[in-house]
Amino acid sequence: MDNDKWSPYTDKGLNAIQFLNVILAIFFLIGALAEVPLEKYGIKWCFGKNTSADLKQLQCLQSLQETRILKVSFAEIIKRRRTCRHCKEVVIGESQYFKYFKFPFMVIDIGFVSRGTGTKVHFIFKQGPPIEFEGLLMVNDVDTNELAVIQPKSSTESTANFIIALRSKKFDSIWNSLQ
Amino acid sequence: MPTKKQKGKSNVSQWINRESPHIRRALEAASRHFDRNDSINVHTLEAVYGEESSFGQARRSLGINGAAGDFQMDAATARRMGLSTTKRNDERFDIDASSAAAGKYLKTLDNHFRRPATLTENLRTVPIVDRNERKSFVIAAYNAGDARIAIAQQEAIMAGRDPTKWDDVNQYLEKAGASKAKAIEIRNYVDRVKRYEREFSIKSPANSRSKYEGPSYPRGAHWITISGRHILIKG
Repeated sequence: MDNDKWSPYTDKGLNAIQFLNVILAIFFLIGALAEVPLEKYGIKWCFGKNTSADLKQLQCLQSLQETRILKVSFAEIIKRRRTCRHCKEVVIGESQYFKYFKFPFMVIDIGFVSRGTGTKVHFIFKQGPPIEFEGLLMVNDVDTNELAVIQPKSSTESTANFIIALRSKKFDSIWNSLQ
Repeated sequence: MPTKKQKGKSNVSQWINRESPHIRRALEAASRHFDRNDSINVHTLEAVYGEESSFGQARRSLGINGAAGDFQMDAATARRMGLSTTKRNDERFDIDASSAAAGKYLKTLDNHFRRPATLTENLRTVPIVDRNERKSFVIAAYNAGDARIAIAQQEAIMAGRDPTKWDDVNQYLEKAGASKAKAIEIRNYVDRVKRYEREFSIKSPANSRSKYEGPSYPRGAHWITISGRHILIKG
């Protein structure tokens, strides 16, 4: 009867590696449970989630206020630059990257900064080099969020492949266009 | 970047010894961003400078998200506060520019807790009238982000506690998404910076009302980064 007793170390139970996997899974579960449910504060569920090619998550991200701010800012920058190409930058980095703003864009994740203040929005463009950009949104004097800084993120091969995958037909409906 | 505290001896005295007239002038000049209604002053800036980079000694260490320099700012925030962060000229390592940016940044955080600030749809900070209380929130936000502190305020409200009292709000940092270790770090960070600030206000010769005379190195000087070393190029 003793031989039938379950033990994590016997071949009838789990072997050491499987046992370790169970422990790791428990840790991940605790980690997932520890994540703050921001919905509780009226913030949409996709805010603060890790980047993913999940269609629902991407659709949710495009409906957030931050995406709308980005869209309005891009349109304003294009309009301003059309009449005043060498004017001083209002959004830091705009003169360098405004050539991409006319292309459809997709927000791939949004989250709060881990120090200080601001919201970080990561986005990509449908055309141009497969680079991920980071926008920093900050609260201005009249208590509205505005785009303050745009900068490219250091790109890896996997990021480039991810962007290329998002440019496929499957995600056509998600891209935000200025028109 | 927390510094190691020597047993029985405050860091502040050592930092004051390191505070050259140039550093003091830079910190005093940066405090021109503050007014008497703010919770922060030149000594808060000195305390944050001491805590973040041990008065410049640890400015070369990289923090989370590439935070670097005298006040451990990340590149996007530093650029927003008017600093250049290119490899050829990273002003986060220039005490004049970085302390001005840190002053501006602390002032922004103070504003976010002085009146309600909408950080994203439906998430607002709860304003704090008491300057001493607000100071704790500003310092905590510098370390952990104002959104996390605003969420902790919301949790305090839900629990029937006072969202304008740091002692009440800091109990909800874990519920606001901070790990247990991070929550302890935030509480300790606030306590340390406030303790340093009190000590600076007694010992430091820095005066927020003194007149700024400009940087002591020539105009046109700039910092460059070569193999991770930050070098001041004059002229």
